[in-house]
Amino acid sequence: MTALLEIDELTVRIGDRLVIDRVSLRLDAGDRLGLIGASGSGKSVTSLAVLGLLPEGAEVTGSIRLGGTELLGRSDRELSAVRGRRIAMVFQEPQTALDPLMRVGKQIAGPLRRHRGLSRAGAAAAAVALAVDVGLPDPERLVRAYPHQLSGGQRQRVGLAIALAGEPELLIADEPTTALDVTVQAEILALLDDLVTRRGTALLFITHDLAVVAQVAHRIAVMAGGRIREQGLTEQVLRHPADPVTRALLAAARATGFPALTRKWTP
Amino acid sequence: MTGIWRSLGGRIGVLLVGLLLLAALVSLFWSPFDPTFIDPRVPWAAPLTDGHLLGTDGSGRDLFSQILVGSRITAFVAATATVMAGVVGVGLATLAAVPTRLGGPVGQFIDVLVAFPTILTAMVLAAVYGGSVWTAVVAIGIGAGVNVARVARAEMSSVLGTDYVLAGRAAGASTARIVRRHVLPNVAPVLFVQLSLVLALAVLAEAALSYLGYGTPPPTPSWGRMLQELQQFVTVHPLAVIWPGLAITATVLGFSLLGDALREATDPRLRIARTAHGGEAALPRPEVLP
Repeated sequence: MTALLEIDELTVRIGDRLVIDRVSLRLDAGDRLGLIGASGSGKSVTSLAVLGLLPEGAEVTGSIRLGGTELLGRSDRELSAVRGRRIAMVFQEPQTALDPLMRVGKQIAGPLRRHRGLSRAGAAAAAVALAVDVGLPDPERLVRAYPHQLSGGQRQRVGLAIALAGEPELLIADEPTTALDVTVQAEILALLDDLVTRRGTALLFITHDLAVVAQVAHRIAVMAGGRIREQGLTEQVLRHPADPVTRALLAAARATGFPALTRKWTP
Repeated sequence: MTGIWRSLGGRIGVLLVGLLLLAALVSLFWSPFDPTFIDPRVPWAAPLTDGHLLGTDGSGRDLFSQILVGSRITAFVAATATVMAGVVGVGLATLAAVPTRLGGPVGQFIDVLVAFPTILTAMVLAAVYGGSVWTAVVAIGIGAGVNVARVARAEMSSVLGTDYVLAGRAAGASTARIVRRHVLPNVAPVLFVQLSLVLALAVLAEAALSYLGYGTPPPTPSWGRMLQELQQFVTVHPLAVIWPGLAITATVLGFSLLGDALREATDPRLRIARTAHGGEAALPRPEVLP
């Protein structure tokens, strides 16, 4: 069976800096992969490379295949048919990832019209339905609100609604809970978990936080210095970390006091 | 509109610009005298004599009628030159800011034209096509347009670098849609300020060009040419030259105040601050800061 997403020997250079060094990852339909690493380890660059959204002047080699078709080297126009439709993304900062001057309903309606061919009125109605799906309170009213009128958690729910509007096969979540406070984090994680389960969407979850990834990912890959250091089933990697980077991340997670994680995964 | 009326400056701006538009409108149907009618019996009449509200010039032409009819040219040039500056500015800025192969050259083109004086453009155009209202409009439109483009390009680049544009692209939006739906609305407040400055500048530039003889040709009355004609006699009849100067100053002031008020009214970030704290904009007051 062909994998949904297959990244093979992906290498990215920006200027003369090697940002990603021969990264290979594989995701099957409905699969959930956690990509973990400290800041600057190259995990966000990997996700942007998948969408073809790297900054001008980035030199990309290797292969990124979606359902067997190569994405690298495709034109921006061809890729925009993939973005939001087959692969969608949730961003770290819901505050900045929403246009401050556009009502949130319009922002959800954009991909609905584009990818599902809905009329203006149809998209507006579907946007409300999506707002209900992502658990926005009083959706009829909130779709007419501007982003600054929402709380951080509500904004991230809108971010999720936008990402899911095109009914993607793969959802990339780039630190979606990092900018939120801890109680809201848990809610958003539970919602994300629920949404991808119900829709059968594959998930590439990017984070630096082992406690978070342990809750959502079946498999994890640990990244450092632009390379994959270790990859395997979540339980296996966390129980028997082979790489020093994984051990360091695990120690950091324990030190910051996640009792649940410590109890569950301490050998 | 209510936002503009909220500030004192906005009110004065609306009144002054309203006065200009009213004068231009009224002059289409009525003026106390024919502004070009030469009456040798009353040269240099003092204000309020023989029905001459502001007096007459050296040929006995009624100054008030000239100011009234001259406002048409001012209003027309200000409006058309600003529209043109907006089109030129937004067009060039979009081409320069959106990352394509065209971006670099267009950016350099803007930088070169910014250094090119508007007066020089007008002189070149006037030399080729003769002085006319359109010479002034095109020269001001291009001259101000590249300046608008320079500012708008920087603003657009910063908007294009934001997360919400990245998020828009990640959701599959085309470049055209991103520019139309995200970039333009977000640079609009800055564009409004720039274009309101252009309105004020266009009034000044039209006066300057007419003064130099590159704008409105005689006998059509224009404030710039009135200034030039009356200025020669400023030591003998100082009162006469005040009127066109006053008209130009008041109009420029009106457009500037209106532009400022417009900026405050259209920027939703300022709008929120105002409604959240009951009436007043919640900006840090300079005197409160250490």
